[in-house]
Amino acid sequence: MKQLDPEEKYLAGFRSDDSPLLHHEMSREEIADLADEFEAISSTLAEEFQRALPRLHLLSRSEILQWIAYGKYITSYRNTEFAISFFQSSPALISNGTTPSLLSWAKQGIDISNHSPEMATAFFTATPAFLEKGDTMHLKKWAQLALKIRTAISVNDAPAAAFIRSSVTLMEFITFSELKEWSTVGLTLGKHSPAYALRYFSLTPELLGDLYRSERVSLFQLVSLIAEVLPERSIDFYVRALTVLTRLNPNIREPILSFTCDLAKGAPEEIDTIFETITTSMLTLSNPEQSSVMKEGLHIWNTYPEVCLSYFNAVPHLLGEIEETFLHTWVERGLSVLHNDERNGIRYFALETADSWSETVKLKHAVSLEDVRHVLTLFAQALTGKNMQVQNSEESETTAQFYPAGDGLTIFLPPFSADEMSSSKNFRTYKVATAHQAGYVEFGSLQGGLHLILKLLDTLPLRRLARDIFFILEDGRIDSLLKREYKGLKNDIEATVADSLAKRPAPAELPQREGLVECLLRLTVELLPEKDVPPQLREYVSLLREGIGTFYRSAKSVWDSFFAAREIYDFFLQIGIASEGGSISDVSDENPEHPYSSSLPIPFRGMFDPELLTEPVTLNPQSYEEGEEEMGTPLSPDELKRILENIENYHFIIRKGDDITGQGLFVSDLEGLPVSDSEESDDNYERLDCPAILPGKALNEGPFHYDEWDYQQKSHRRKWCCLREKDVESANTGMIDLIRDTYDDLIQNVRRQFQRIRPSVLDPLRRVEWGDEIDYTALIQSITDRKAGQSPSDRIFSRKEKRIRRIATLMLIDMSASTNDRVPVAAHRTQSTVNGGAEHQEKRIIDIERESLVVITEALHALGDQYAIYGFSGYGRKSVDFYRIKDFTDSHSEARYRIGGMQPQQSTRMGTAIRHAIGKLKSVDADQRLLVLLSDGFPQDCDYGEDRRSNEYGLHDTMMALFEAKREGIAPFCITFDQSGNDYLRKMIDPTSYLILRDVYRLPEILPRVIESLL
Amino acid sequence: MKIQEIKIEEFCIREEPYYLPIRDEVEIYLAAFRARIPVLLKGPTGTGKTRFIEYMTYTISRELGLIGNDEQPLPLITVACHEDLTTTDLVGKYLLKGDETVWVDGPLTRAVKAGGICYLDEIVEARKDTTVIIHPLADHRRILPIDKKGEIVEAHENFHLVISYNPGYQSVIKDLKQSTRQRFIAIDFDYPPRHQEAQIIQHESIINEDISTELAKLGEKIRNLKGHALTEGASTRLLIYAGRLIREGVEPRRACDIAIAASLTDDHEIQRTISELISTIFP
Repeated sequence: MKQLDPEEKYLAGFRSDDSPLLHHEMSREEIADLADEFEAISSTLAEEFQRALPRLHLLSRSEILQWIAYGKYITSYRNTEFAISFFQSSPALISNGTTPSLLSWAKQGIDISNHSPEMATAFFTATPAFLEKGDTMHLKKWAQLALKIRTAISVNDAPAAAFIRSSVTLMEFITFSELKEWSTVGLTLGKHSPAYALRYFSLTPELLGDLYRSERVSLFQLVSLIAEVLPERSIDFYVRALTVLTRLNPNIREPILSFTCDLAKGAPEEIDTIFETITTSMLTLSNPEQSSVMKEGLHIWNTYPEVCLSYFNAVPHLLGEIEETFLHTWVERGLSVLHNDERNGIRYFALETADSWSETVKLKHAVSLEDVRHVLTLFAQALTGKNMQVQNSEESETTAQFYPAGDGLTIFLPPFSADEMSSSKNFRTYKVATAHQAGYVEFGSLQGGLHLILKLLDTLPLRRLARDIFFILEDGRIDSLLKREYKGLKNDIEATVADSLAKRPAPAELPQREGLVECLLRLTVELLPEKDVPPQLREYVSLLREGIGTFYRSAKSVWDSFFAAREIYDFFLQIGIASEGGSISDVSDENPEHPYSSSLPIPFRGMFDPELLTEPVTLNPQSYEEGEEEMGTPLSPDELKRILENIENYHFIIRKGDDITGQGLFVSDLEGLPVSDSEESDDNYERLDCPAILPGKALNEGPFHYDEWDYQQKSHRRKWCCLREKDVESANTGMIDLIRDTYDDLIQNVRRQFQRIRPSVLDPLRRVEWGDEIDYTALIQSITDRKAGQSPSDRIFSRKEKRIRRIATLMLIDMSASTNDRVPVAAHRTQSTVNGGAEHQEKRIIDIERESLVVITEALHALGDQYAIYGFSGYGRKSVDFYRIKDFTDSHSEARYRIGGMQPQQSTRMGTAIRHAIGKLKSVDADQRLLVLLSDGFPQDCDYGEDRRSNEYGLHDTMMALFEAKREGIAPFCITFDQSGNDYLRKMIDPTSYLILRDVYRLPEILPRVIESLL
Repeated sequence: MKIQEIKIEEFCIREEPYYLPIRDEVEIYLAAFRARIPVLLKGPTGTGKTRFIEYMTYTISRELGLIGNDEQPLPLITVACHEDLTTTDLVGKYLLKGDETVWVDGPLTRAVKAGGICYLDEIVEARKDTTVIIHPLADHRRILPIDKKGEIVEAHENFHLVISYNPGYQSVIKDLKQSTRQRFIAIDFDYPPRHQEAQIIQHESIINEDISTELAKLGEKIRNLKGHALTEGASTRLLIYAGRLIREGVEPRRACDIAIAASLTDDHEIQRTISELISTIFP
């Protein structure tokens, strides 16, 4: 028999005459008397009383008497509606709260009724709905808020009643605590006119629910500010702002509101216009553009808030001209103008100066590295014959991010080149910089002990000066060799140098020592006319000029630059310029009286960053192999001997006299150098093992940049995501062996099944010597040939031949953090064993993925098909990780080790991973390509779409990526184990290409079947 | 101009072709010819395999004293192999003539009978059942069985079999069978070193040394892209074409763009890279 709950039991009893009453023990007579009393006022009232009473069965006798007393008091108002609402709403208090809350609520209603019975009626009537969304604890505050409004707008109780009614509706979208901010606006409006307040309180815009809480609070504050001065406009603004805000990128809504608020400080009447200006601009832009514009807007706000509005006004036009990437540069330029001349700066941001236009035109022709990176990479590879890569310097650990740099294998270039007024010239800058960096490799700067050279230079008192001289000479050597070797590049280098020199200070503008260094630099680019040399340096410069000419004709290696640098360094000391008059014994770069200011490199030559080099300096005779030219070649004893001999014999400058007091370098200087086991080289090794960007994982390949589909803009976000390929660390195969043992029967079955279905197609072969049918075209041709006296072909048949299809299968496995979740075992499975005795215990999703992969790889291996397995995860668009578990070329046994090493990682940015997988599949020679995606839920990532609460963006992007796969002739298939069975895949892919697996434990059985059906 | 029609087994090299030996390939070939060992020439396209065989045909004719008198030099019979090439095409077939059938020898049979160098170019392109026909010719037996006639032809004493293939772009399916491979000695051909390639370009396109050196340098740099972006490097032949265009007055950058960049690839970015290399080398 069905168990009745106490209330049902009570009600059943109350309806039948003989059952006992609970708790309050009101007798039937007492109730009948009270009902009669209420009947005298209104029959509805009596009915509502009798309907409410049984629902209050948990109240004690004294409590129920108190409640009845309140009821009677309320009836004394002679407002039947008021009393009815009391009895109607009372049970809601008991089901949602406690007995005391019922009585205090009744008291609050009576308090309100002292001001206005209509309001109190609204209060009682709205209470059940309020309690559905709120808490009984908030009832009192709610009543107080209503009373506060009633007190403030004393002439009319309609606004307060509207407050009560609307607040209940609004609580669908906003929290109770926000009601206070919401009501503040109404109170402000009420000060002007109750009608305004009534209009405001009567609005219950659903769009409020689309905003975040903080945004709503800011909006109420803003509306409140306007309401102070322009009450009527404030309500229109409120409605309009809501519509506009919900159409904007969620990430910029809050800043827009606070911007508007800050910009309008002291002039609330301006708020409307300011908000309009900013949002109108923003609405013309895509979501990522809105983010960038706002980021720069905040930057401007922190520096010169006055120009913010001009900036927002100009920005849509500006972005019509330049790429969003260059916005920051444009703004920086504007801020520097502002810094020098405020008036001009303000006009710059309003696009009213020639300067701002020329900057815009310049950036319009800027070249983004991402657009030319592949070409430059191939260019560097062609020049050097080594597998060099070009990367964005922002992704490097180099200290000088605005200059090109390199480590012998990777060339780091600034994210864009925008110094010239045409794209071809900007590309030329990149090309020359790449050639220069490649020149370090091609002409041996990085070979043969650069570390040792740096150490030797660091032993000198003026080490920064010594390094500057050395790098100027070495860069000059590289440029001179480039110009000699590549005659076409010669013109490019010279043009780039000429442009760069025009932007450098002339030697005469610098102190004597720095001036001479600048002269040296200009000599190395062969652009130092005699008139540019300060008179006091002419004598020295002419000596240097002579030396440089001979040097570049004979220099063969980086060591030659070193010896020449030592000579010039000594020459600086000899002529007394190094110390600028100080005595040699106390000179140093950091001399507080004359600190040496390092020479800035010519931009395309880049800033040499020794930290990027991983070349160890070792003097290990056993490890030296003659002819080896790779990075990190240790110096042989013979080589070192040659170097040391040269130190004494080398003459760069024909010295005047022999009274040189320079500090020559002797063999003994080398003895004390920490060489093979120095701290620095140890550090370098450590850095090589464990790059800071990706701790713990070997950095393999990438970055690869992929577009992402923005469904709102209906276009791709260009090169939006950055993916890196990583290796999954191998684990021992013990676990894999265990899985194989467990699933032995299944594996055997699947193998047999797959071998049976070895796919083939029938290819029609025409014009063959034998066959089932006559190829009439060939026959006619043959007869014609014979008649014409030519040699007829005997290939006049056609037949059909079986051809083995070559299939490439790529499995893409979700390795997100959620795969760490344990999956409850279905009841029917706990009692039985399946698949040859594999007893199911609660497992993690990743474990089941692993098991399935072991089974399927055995099958595919048996089939002899090409297959690959990759995992994917990551965090954010800039770091999508693509884990290599098995490449198409890897062996089956390698895959086994890596399957064991799969571990849950972070998020699930599916689109980018699919796009990378498409590339992998396309590179394989196959007739049919399959992409099987295994995932455990929605595509999700921290910035997968601006609205963090919605999966729509991720779903659409994944859908587009799958579509792109199809367009490339790849058959995608998705398997997802969503416990809740969310059928979001329906949106992404056609129904024949996906499977939702409720029972994840069946995956090892299902996966082979799925793949078989696709073959 | 009178168009000459020559029978396939009568095609001879009467004038010395230009060939610049890179290593000892000439001596090796001569030794192989004397020992009657068939030769396999391996290497990328445009590295001089065909030119080499022409040169060797001439050299051997000269050695045999067939040049400079009324004697017929050694013929060079070249067959370009393709996937539809059958045994019949190589060996011969019966033709109808009136009510009778007449046997017509195929190029291989003609070469075997006439003596001379039979050069089967791109042998892997031919069907596998066709390739085996050369097996009895390529070992100590030196015979050609003609199944349709029920005959066996013994090879002429000056008959020499040479095959060529490019291992670079052959797929696994089209690889040469071991039983075929192991009947030949193999001479590897690769792109010549810069200095020698410049000499070749200079000679073939009759341009000055500077331009030919620059063209050779360009070839070397483009070949660095092999494996990264290109399946095959720029051949010496393409460099010669560029040289000839330059000689005809085409501006060097333009000549290289059309003769090299556009020929090598359809990929826009790789083409651009090659164009950048061209503009790096040629002013």
